[in-house]
Amino acid sequence: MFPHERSLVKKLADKPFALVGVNSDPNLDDLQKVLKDESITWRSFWNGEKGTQGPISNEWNVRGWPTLYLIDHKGTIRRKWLGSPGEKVMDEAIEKLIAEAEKGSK
Amino acid sequence: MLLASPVLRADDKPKEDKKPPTPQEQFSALVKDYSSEQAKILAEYRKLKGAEQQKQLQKYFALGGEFAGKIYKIAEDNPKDPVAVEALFWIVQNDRSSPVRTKALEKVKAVINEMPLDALAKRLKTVFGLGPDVMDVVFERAKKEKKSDEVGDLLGWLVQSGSYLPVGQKAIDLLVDQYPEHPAIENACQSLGQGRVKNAVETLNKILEHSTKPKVKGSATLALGQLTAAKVDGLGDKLAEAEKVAAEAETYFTKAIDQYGKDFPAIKTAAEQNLKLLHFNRVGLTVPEISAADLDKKEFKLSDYRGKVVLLDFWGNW
Repeated sequence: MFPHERSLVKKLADKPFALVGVNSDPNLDDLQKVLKDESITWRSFWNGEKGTQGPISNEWNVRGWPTLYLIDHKGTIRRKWLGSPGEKVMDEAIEKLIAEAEKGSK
Repeated sequence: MLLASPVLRADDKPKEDKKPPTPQEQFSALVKDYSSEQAKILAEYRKLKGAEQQKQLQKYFALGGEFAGKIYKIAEDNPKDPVAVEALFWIVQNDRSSPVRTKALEKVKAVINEMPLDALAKRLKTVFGLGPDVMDVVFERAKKEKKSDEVGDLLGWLVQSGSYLPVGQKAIDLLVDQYPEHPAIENACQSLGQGRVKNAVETLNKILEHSTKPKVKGSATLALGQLTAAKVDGLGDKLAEAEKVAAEAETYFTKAIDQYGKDFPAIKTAAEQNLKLLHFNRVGLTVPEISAADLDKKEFKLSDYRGKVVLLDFWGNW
């Protein structure tokens, strides 16, 4: 996941797009090294000390990791994936919504 | 001579302690060894990471094969002893790929065809995970026999063993048609609701139509709601359609609560949970707000990103 996400963030830097995480690692200190090693620059909410049983994932009923939601520029949920659907499917869905956003703001 | 003396002393023990173990005892001892080996591998597995962990997993799956030879020999040496059948079933269940499994499988297939029906139904009650090849043979046997409680149990076993396999689906259809009151149907509703079974909607509607048990009807209604709700998440490009399908799912959940919820609290709880999510984070809804701290403990909000396309990723480093 990380390499694809890094390339998405880089490729779409000038577009109306953001990658936002909800991280479910229970230990923030251990995580700092991963953020550095994997060049994870995008922002994440922290799901808390209970890890995968934290408040955000519980409220959202997340049952597997990664779970991904794709949200359009108006804030409507447009896709939900349990596990990565593959880079191609993901890229196409994102690009389609970016086109909608660019059209919508004109 | 010095070395031999402890052996001599051991031989001095009273004779009745030294009865050779019966085939059943030999089998039980091997199965016990297998379980403790398996526990050791699992404990080790939990401590490891990455490639080392994968290696341990392979060890775990190969373990059945390592015991299969010895266990097969017990069956071969004692073909008349009931332990022989037990041993053969054990190999088919626990050995995934060794050549011994192939030999044991042929014998198990023959046993399934020849065994008295009640004995077969009883044996299967305690074993699962025999694999699709064994399930096919059980299904053929069930089809050949006249209608009876035992045949219902064979079909019920098939449904529980793998309702998502083609043979499991055939078994559900036959079970619903001929044994609509069989207890396995209630459990089947749960797996049908998870979306891995082909024609699940059709089967669930048939269950609703044929069953007289309120609990089964309640479970089928809930499962239909779950299948319908799952469809909503695939309609991100047809939002009007998504609303229609969501309303349909809501009708099922409401019906499950109103008609069956009072008598069956588990159905009520599940339907309410599903309904809550249907109004919370399905495709077509405005995304719920998340307001929490980031990994540097600075607060931010998901709505800060409104106007942009957002990929929200529930992730973890493991």
